[in-house]
Amino acid sequence: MVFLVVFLLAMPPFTHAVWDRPDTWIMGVPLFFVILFVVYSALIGVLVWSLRKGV
Amino acid sequence: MEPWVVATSLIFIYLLVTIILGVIANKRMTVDMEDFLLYGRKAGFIVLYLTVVATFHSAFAFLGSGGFFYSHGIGFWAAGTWTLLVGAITYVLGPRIWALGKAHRYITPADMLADFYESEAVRIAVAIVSVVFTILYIQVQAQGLGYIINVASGDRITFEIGTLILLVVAAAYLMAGGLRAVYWTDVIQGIWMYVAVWVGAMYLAYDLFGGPMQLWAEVRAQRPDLLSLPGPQGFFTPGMWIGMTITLSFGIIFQPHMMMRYYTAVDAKTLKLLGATTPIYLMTLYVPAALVGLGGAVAMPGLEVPDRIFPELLFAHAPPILTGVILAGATAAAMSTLDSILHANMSVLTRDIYQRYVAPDRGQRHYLWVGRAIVAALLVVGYLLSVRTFDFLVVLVTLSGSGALQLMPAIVGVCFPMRRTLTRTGVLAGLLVGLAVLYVTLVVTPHPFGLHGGVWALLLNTAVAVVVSAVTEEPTEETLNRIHGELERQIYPEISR
Repeated sequence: MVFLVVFLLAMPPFTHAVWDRPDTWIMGVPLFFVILFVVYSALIGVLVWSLRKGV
Repeated sequence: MEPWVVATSLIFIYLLVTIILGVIANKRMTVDMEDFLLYGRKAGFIVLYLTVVATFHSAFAFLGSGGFFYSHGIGFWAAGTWTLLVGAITYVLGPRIWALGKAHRYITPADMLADFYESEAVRIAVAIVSVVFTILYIQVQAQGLGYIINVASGDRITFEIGTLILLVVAAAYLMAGGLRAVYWTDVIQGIWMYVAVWVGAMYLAYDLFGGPMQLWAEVRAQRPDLLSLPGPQGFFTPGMWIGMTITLSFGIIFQPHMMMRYYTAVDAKTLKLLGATTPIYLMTLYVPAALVGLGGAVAMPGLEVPDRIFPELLFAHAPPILTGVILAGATAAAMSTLDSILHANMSVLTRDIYQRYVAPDRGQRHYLWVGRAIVAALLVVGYLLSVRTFDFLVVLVTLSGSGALQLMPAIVGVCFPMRRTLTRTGVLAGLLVGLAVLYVTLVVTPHPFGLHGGVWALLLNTAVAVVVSAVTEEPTEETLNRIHGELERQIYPEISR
């Protein structure tokens, strides 16, 4: 469930309406790219956490 | 020495290494179909990890992703979504498929589906879908290999000859050593391609722009249209984003070369570990691909074949040795997937069609030789397709994934016990409708209402499968107990106790 909830952050409408801000940059990289990298990393974290918990 | 000689020589040295590995694997092989087709079901984590990631990432990731970033911009960062889903699917589905494969000695996906749905028609339908749609994948790899060697040799080796050489080498080590040769070469290929794409991308970023940050700044200044959705050509609409996410995760996993990898694991725990960790490799490979594609759009605009952007940039700006090493990595990416697909299709055609319907009760040695002959035939088909038709590599892979995606209702019906299970009639009706809808939504009226055709087909396929199953005969009690009972014992041991 946690995976699915976080996964939704990498799906429309978040991708197309919230993260898609070509004028906003974080440390020289577009916001869109950074935010999705953070979401993807969080999803990997959820999978590893599930493995450790034995889910 | 001229740059093209260095680059081409390094690729040929790499090919020699793969052939030597194939010969060594052949020495270790026993005359046994499980050993030849499934690595004896004893693949450990490291081997399985590298073969899964090397197989998943192909010419599509190494060349196609750069081409897509080049043409359609930052929207291709959607790639992360399907790599994450691949991990999650492996985590949830992998142990189930492994458990059933081990308990009932399944070799191909059709073995499992035909057994559960008690239907030879299901076996044949699944075998046909598996083979037809993965042949497109052979075309993707062959096309990628042709580009690589053509660029590396500076047009001295034609696309057609390059494709032929590399196809023959992949088929040779596969015929010699079976899945053992595929797995061993995948280990090298998986490491090589990852290092190569990162080193190549970083070298180009520093050489052309002064670093990745300067690259982003330059893209912002010169091609801001590449940094927003849906991209300069309006490709990455919400429907396309969702569609590609589904077809390139489920659709790739349900192809025989990926599903059969689940059968080969030494245990279920290995598959869970695999599911949790493969996205690290898969997702991070698209970061350098973004640098190559977006940076390439600024540094080398107007390329006729966008998929060639990475090798073209390397050849124009990197030292010959580095170019050769990286292009050998690109060759590795394509060959690691190509050999797996050839192997899977050989398994399906030998096991599900030839052994069952053409010549049953023959010796193991006979089937091994038939398998090798089938690889040769597939080679010819893949070669002809690759030299006669051209398309974006990503488009071909998505089409291939859309076809395999239509197996999803049938597979879910086997792997997840439900109150009312799907039936053979329901699954076949759904598959038939799914394929018909796929044709309409990809060819006649592409992607209606902006949603990917593969998803339309899956939705209607599922609806028909469920409705028809509600009024037709379920698998027998004995089969349900045998197969779903096995899942309960393996996956839910606390319930079955």
